[in-house]
Amino acid sequence: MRLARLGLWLLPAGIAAVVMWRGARVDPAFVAPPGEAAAPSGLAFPEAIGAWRTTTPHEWFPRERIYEKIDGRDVLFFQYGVQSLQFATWEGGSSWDMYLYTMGAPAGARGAWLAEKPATAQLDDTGTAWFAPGAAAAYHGHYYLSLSAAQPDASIMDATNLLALLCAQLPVAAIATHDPAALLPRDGMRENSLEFIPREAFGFDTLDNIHAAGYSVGGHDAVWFVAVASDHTAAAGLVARYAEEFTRFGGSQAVNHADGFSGVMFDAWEMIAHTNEIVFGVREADSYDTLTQHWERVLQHIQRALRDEK
Amino acid sequence: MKSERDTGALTRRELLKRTAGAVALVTLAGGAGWFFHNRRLAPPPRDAATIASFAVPDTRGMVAVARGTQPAALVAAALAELGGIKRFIKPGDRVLIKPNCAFDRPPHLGATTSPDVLAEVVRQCTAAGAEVRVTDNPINNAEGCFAKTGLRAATERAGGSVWLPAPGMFGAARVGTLKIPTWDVMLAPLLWATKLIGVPAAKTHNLCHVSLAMKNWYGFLGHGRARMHQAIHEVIADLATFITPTLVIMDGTRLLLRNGPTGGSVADVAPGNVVAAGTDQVALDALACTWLNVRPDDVEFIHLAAQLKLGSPDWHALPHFKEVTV
Amino acid sequence: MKRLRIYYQVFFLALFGVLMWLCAQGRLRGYPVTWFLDSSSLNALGALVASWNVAHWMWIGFGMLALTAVLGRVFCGWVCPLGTLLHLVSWLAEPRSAKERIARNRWLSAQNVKFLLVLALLTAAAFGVLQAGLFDPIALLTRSTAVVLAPLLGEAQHLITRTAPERAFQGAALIASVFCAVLALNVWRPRFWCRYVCPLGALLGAATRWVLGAITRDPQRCTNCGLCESVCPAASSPSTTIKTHECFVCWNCVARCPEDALEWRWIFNRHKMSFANDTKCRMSPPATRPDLSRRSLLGALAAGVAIAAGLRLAGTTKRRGFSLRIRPPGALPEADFLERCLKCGLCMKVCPTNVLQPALTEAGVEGFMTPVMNMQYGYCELNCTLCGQVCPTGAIQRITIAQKAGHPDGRPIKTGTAFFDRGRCLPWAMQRNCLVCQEVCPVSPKAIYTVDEEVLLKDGTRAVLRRPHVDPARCIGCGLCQRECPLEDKPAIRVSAVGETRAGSSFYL
Repeated sequence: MRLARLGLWLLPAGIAAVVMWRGARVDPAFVAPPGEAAAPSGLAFPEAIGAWRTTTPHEWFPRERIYEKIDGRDVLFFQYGVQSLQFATWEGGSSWDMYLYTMGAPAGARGAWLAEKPATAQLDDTGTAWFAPGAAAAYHGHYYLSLSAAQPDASIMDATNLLALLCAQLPVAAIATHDPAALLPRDGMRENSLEFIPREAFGFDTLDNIHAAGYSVGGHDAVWFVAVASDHTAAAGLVARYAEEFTRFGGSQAVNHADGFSGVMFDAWEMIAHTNEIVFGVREADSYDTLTQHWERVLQHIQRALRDEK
Repeated sequence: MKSERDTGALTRRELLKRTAGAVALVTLAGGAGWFFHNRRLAPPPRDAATIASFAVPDTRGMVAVARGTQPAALVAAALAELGGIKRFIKPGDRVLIKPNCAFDRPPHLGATTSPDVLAEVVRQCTAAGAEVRVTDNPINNAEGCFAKTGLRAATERAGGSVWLPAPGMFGAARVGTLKIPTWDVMLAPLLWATKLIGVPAAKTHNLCHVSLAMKNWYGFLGHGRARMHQAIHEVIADLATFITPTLVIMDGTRLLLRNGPTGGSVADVAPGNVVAAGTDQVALDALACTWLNVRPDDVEFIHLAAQLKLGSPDWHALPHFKEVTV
Repeated sequence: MKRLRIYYQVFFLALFGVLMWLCAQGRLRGYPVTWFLDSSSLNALGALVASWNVAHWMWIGFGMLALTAVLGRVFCGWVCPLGTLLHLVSWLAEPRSAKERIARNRWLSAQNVKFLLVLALLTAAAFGVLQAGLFDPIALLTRSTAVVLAPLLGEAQHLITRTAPERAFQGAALIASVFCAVLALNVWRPRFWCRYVCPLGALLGAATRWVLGAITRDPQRCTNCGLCESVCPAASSPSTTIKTHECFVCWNCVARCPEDALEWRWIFNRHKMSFANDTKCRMSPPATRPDLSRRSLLGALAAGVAIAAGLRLAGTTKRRGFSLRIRPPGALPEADFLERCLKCGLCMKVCPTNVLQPALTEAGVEGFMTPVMNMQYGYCELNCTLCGQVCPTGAIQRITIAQKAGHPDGRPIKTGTAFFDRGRCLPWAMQRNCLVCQEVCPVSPKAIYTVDEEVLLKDGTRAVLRRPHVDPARCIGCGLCQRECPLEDKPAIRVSAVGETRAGSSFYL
């Protein structure tokens, strides 16, 4: 009986012990969020490149989920045809966040690069990378790579170094098509006038994916623009539709040239033509003479560029 | 032993009874707790039946088209071009025939299968020695539909019987892969049959362009099918996965060219004077589109069914394609 | 032994309080917060008879039944936390004079009512209508703690430290009133609930039919002073023939008796007594059966059938128009759910966002006090399945977070669908952009998408409105959108139960 009595006094302690023991067991299936699906199509980067290393796994977002990382900014990238985003943080003295965007086309990559470039940014020698305090970006084929420093005063040397190393990891573009920007010469280009217009450039429905820049010839300014169509027929169609829109919107003195078209609208002279699949033109010339002067230059440059490529 | 009754204490018998009772209760309680432990933690999912294919071996990709004015002769000719009914139906077979009996409209309005066509199909099957039953699950009252359309009379005239839908006949079955994995269907006839022949009418359809062989199986679906409208093309493709028939005999004797599927005016109907028979429901649907002046390319469910490899919309290219005039 | 009993009561009441405190996000871990509910034989038997299942830990209830068959209603005297609470209140309220106390502890035939009640409840359960949880003492206490006491304590803590999250429950006033009544009635009669109402006590009492040991009175020693009656909380009349179907085995009478005439004895030990030189034992055998007439028993049975029929005839499980009956994720289809739900309120206690509420009218009379999600109070957290983990009967299944999210087959659990009220939604009705709902939609890809439309504003300028739409294929009915909609008086996007995955037939494509 004494034993039974003792047992009864100890029983609650035993129950408490069992409760504690059960409390210690946690089934992860009920607690942890499901493991993220393995990044299916991200580029495989090594864990360490040079003096830089990543400490956490890369994150990868397809187009539909890109807002999870860049909510609000995603709208901009959709305009340039973003397909996915790969994100990682690189440490090596300073800490930089890498945003690697896979765009639908090289033009989109450049477009995004231009769109994010601050006015005060410095360009590198190749003209494919810009640097600003705490930020840097470059484009390479279909890819647009941007770096964002954890500290705003991070060293620009680090940025240059990291950017170069990371770009070296990007696969080389397979087919070299005409690089539209190369068709716009660097010399004579007005500062900070190079732009990429993805849709409806200059108000024309037919002008998509246009690179434009301002030039000065003989003291008169005008805007040169180029686009690369898929083939000769498409380029011709683009010019034809341009002409039709021009007339519909009240342009005057419309003249059809061989493979081209010119006219004046709202006191600005413009001209457009195509060679093979390249469409190019001049606009916002203040007089017919200005137009012809710029046009000669454009023609020379385009022909030389095509010759060089061959 | 001195009687213990006067002490007021328990007798030995009472003691035993009590002990037995206590033990029994303990066993019962413990046993119930143990036996039923997690026995029915979640109610078991309804088992969905799978309907096996009704196709006869080595009869893939066959289509025959017969043109003429006598419906019975057209059916007979088309079947003959396929090798005769005996190639498909054997004596002792239980043949389920699924015409289009969806609306209570008289046959000349073209909304349902022609009774002459159905009668000939039934006659051929009974002549081949099979037991024939005809069924459909219309939206309206089934009895009325079978009467008004003339399909009951046609069936019974030819030696078959009509099997009207009843609540107990329905059950869950696996249907398709696109939109409806399982649904409540008219299970009893499908499980009874050893051969299944579809006899659809060729009609245009407001929602899905045409209602032909694949859409014909809609009549097997049970409650709630009004929701199908939201994804009608995927559902029709699922129906083609659900049912692989022995034969389809496409009734083109009257064509409902406008205001399908119910029609309602003679002006909507034109004589088609054609019957097609075959084993490829996708090909037959594509073919029948041309009768109705609809481009098969415009019909999404034909594409979906073709993608699912349920048949080929290129009826010309089929291994066995015959045309005959009667 | 009386001291031991008090020690057990304190321990179990404290344990109950601790487990209720642990029943919260972040604290729960693996603690067995359901064990008290599981130990109730009424819950175990009721759920078994209604659903033909003994879920998870509910076998403990059957163990308690077996224990009672041998030892008597020790559960009521030693374990039941509500009993302890009522015992405490009764003790605080007891009158000074022994005469008054004896009068209050007299056995009354009204104590038979609880047997009829349990019979009616179990009969109804046999027909699939489980209302036993409304009257089960543990469920009552759990519900009251979850809905009334814990939020009150939270409010008190908030007053002092300004940190506790606020919790609110619809119907709290009703539950509080019932709980207060249950406590207050003890002032009139000690352990009122336990004596007259408690169906669990009745079930255990019925199980003492062949009890193998009981407190028994030696008539030779007894002087009929009645002091035992003055301390008996169960009104089991120890001074005459003790009623084991009422006795809580609390040892009060044994401790009080000045003549040591009362003792707990095994029924086998009748020869081991010795009273001076007298070897005869005049111990009277205890009475173990409640004195119920056949008529009253049949009446109770009929009442049970009537309850079941009446509630089911309302057609709760088959009717249309159930838009507010949004059940927690993992809940079984409605008929199966109602066969299991004890209305205990544990899920409401553990829910981190306070969205689970006791239903008042949303689920019909049969579903009174069952859990429904009411987005006015919260939303369903995406990666949380706590409600299913604490449900003792499996009315809410123990789903993993992966299952809730739809891994790996891509079919997540949906509790409903959100619908826009275009008469209120700002981009639709007021020509203003908003899109808070899309921002907070937690699923990936989002279930709310926008279509841009250019409109002419009243001042003549043009503006682009991003008008939101729900994608029913992706919406899981979590209600975050409803909760965050800036139109707090009546949100412009509201979740409705249609499209819930638990009811295969209420889905639409």
